[in-house]
Amino acid sequence: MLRTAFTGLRVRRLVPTLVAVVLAVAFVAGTLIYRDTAQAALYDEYARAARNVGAALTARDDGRLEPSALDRARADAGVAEADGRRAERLPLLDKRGRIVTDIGLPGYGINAGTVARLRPFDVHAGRLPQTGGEAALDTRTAARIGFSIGDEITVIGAGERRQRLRVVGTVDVTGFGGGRTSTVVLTDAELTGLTGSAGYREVVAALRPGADAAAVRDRLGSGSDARARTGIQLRDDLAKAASGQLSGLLVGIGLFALVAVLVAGFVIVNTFTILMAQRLRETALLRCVGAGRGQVFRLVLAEAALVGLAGAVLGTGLGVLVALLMSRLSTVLGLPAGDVVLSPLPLLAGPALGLLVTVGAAVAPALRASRVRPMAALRAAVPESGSLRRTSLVLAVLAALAGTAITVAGLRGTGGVLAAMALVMLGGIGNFAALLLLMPRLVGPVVRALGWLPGRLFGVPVKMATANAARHPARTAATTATLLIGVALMAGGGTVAATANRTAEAQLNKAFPVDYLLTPAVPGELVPAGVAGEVRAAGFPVAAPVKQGEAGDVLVGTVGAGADVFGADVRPGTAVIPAAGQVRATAGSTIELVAGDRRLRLTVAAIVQSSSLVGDAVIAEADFATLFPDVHDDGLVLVKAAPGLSAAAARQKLDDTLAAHPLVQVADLAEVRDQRNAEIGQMVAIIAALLAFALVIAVIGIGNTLSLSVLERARESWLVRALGLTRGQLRATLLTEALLMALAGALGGVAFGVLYGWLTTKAAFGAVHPLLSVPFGQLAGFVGLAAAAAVLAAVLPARRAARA
Amino acid sequence: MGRVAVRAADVVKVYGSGDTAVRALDGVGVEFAAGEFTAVMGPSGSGKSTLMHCLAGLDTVDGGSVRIGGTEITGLSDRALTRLRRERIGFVFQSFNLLPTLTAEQNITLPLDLAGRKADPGWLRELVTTLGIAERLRHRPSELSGGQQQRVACARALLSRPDVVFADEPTGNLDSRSGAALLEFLRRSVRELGQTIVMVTHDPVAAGHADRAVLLADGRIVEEIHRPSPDAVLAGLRRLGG
Repeated sequence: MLRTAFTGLRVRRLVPTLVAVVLAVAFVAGTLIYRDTAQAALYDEYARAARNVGAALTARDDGRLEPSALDRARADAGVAEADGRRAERLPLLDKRGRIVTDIGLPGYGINAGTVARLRPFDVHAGRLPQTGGEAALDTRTAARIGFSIGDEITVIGAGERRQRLRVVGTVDVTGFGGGRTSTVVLTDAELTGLTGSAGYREVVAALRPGADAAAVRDRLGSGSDARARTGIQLRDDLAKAASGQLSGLLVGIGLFALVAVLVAGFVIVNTFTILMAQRLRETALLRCVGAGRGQVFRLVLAEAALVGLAGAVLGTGLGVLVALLMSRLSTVLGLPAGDVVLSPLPLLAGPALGLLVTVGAAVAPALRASRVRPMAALRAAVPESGSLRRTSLVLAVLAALAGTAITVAGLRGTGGVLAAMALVMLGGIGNFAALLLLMPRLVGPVVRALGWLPGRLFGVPVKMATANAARHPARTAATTATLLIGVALMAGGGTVAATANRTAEAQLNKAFPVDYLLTPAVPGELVPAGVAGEVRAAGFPVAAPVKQGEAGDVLVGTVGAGADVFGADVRPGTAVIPAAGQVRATAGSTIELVAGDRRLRLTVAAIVQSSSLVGDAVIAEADFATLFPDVHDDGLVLVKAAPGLSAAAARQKLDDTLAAHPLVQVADLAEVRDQRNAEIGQMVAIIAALLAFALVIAVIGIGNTLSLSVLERARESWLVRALGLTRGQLRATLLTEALLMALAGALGGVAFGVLYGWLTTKAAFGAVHPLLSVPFGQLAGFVGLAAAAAVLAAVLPARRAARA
Repeated sequence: MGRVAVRAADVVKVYGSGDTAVRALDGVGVEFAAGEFTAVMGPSGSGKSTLMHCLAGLDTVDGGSVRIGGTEITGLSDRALTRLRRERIGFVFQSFNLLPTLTAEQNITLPLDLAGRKADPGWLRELVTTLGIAERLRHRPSELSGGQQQRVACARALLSRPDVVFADEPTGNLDSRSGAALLEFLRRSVRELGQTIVMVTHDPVAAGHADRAVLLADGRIVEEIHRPSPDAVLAGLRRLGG
């Protein structure tokens, strides 16, 4: 029985299945291995903070521990050595004099510590600061902004006081709170002098041999509201933080892996279906000579298992390479990287998945094979593929109805942006399922439509190709479905990105025809009230101060009088609501703003299609003063350069004006725009790169279907050659067939992707009216790529056909 | 006449329905004695292949009864029919008898492999030696001549010592020499081994090797010729045509 399965393998015909499995498994295994690798790298980094720590007392939130906490720890019987760790906000300036930030957060200063083995960092080069005026810088920041040992750096202490420090060393350290912000290591005295703060964030203790960590922890923590942990607990918490940082990224990659697996599943189903159709007579003969249905079923599954296993093993090997590559790439992208870690899970899960998917995908073809009647062995011709099932039509209609209903519910819904997006995407899945179910019915007409004009122009080969592609609708549909999935996702992602970009751009331009935004460099701080005036005095025609306050969840803003920008003309007693903000209201209704014990009832004057840069609710200055009497400084300042002044000159003038205010950050809107464009471009590129995996598998599926069709049509090819079709024409027929299949899949994918990309954006934007932007160039690129790849995949089968 | 190996009684087979219904078998009753070599003959469309399919349990009947070695096979489940084919029936078809990926020997032992049984090595050797394919056992079908392929199929059909071997135009794709050799072998297996063979053919020369020829026309048995000579068969067929 097994021998029959083994010898039944015709390796060449199973190569495409093998490749599909290999790629899918490689993607999954690679992702899992990369997760382990990145986690280990992050863990190592985080674990520094827990090294040699037997017990730790950590201040809660933004609190500090009294110096007595350290004295108490040192006096404890179980403690060998203890040290206090400090971390205070200490912005660092780059060479252009601007604050170094990471995701908007400025850096920290930490103390060098007195106990070497309890330091949360490693000296990378040079030495630690020993006196005032010396500092060590973290290696990441040093590399990023180009400082090295011997250079002078500038930090900004309390009260905007600048202090120059000489770099004497670099250290490997995790940024404060697990981030990647800049870290400057200073002596205790310097840190205190600069920041005016003296308490510890954390007191850590190394234990005497034999001391009970839990007991020491409890003694340290008694009578304090700070968090007391053993070293092991601290390490575990750090590890959790490390994996938490990665989870978002991994979920994303995991989704793409899922798509790859799905597409591979389609290819496998297709391959086995075609194989079984070709082997119809063999199967029937087996049944004649006494093979039971179960035996035929098991035979096909055994074959699938063999291929799946082989593919899974190869795929896992490739996955290790993928992980290596991702690890290298992530250094460039700023993601954690390190030596590749091989743990048992990915090495087992990858193969198991490959086996499961292959065998699972082979179940339906195997069932069909087992239903072959022995009589089929006696018929010479292989029957054309059977009629389309009515059940698939019913299912498709149900899926489409449900999908459309859910989509409409999402678009009309009031349950918030996330719920709306989730509903629209769910509806999209429903409609996509309907599309897949209908594909066998649609693909024939689509292919005929696509082939009509070329058929007129190029004659017989194209006409034959059109007829051939539409001949096995179920098979062609399954083949194109793989492309449909990949291209729909790409087109959807591209449309979302382009639409979001264009809409954001329009909202910003319309509402804020300004060139620069002045914002505080340090979150929680404000732009000093005088700054707007100084900028205006320097010759900038508009420098509108914006004051902001929070009323519950609502950001309330007001624009200083006299500025010719949006929001400056709001009349007292009314509010203007930007559609992009948090507040949902209609013009003419009344809203109530509550800040502490102050309340204000305002009439909504208008809902405007604009971003909520100033606030979710924009009110008059007088009303703002009533609601927030303590806010005197500005949240941001909108600045417009004088006409005729060059961008570089205007920027220079602004930087000069602001030289006295290092904590004020200038955001150049042109730069913001470029940066946003670049970010979106990068996002689209990453999506495309990840989906390329799925596309490669899909294209292999096309080549696969064709080469099997070629085998099946060997007699036919021979006949048309005998009737006078040239070798070249026969080849052209096959290539055209591939092209038609690819175009049907890719165009369907584009249409669906654009539709649902647009609907998703609509749901995501809530009350904002998104401006549809279809990235035509990009989409044409996807379609062209799919078509070219499909033709490439058809070259070998075409040659084989022409040889006949 | 000895024990009856296969018995068909009043077998009806209808294809299609309503106005387009065709009675392919219209109340056929026939018996095949054990150890007898019978040729089933008739013009195209006479129902001879349909009769064979119904006798072998490959096709269902719409009426009547078919018994193989005492077992009523109409109404048997697919599982039981599969067992029956595996253990008590041998097949030789006109073409496509062998699985292309298996060697000659693997093809011969395939029914036993499927049943999970071992072949009797002595019997296997005797069969392949008699058939003259002992040297070709490790070859695949594509490396064998048409005659050799049919002899491999014969060996497969006989290996399990079935109650009956059904042969559907076994010489149809062979040249006259290979055909004659194959028929001679079938003849010998009946004479020397007591095998029961039912052969469907339209070739009077092939039928000349049989003990008896059964002539079918329009789904009914119209004539039986004992010890048929090719001339007698031809004459019989001509009577049907005329």
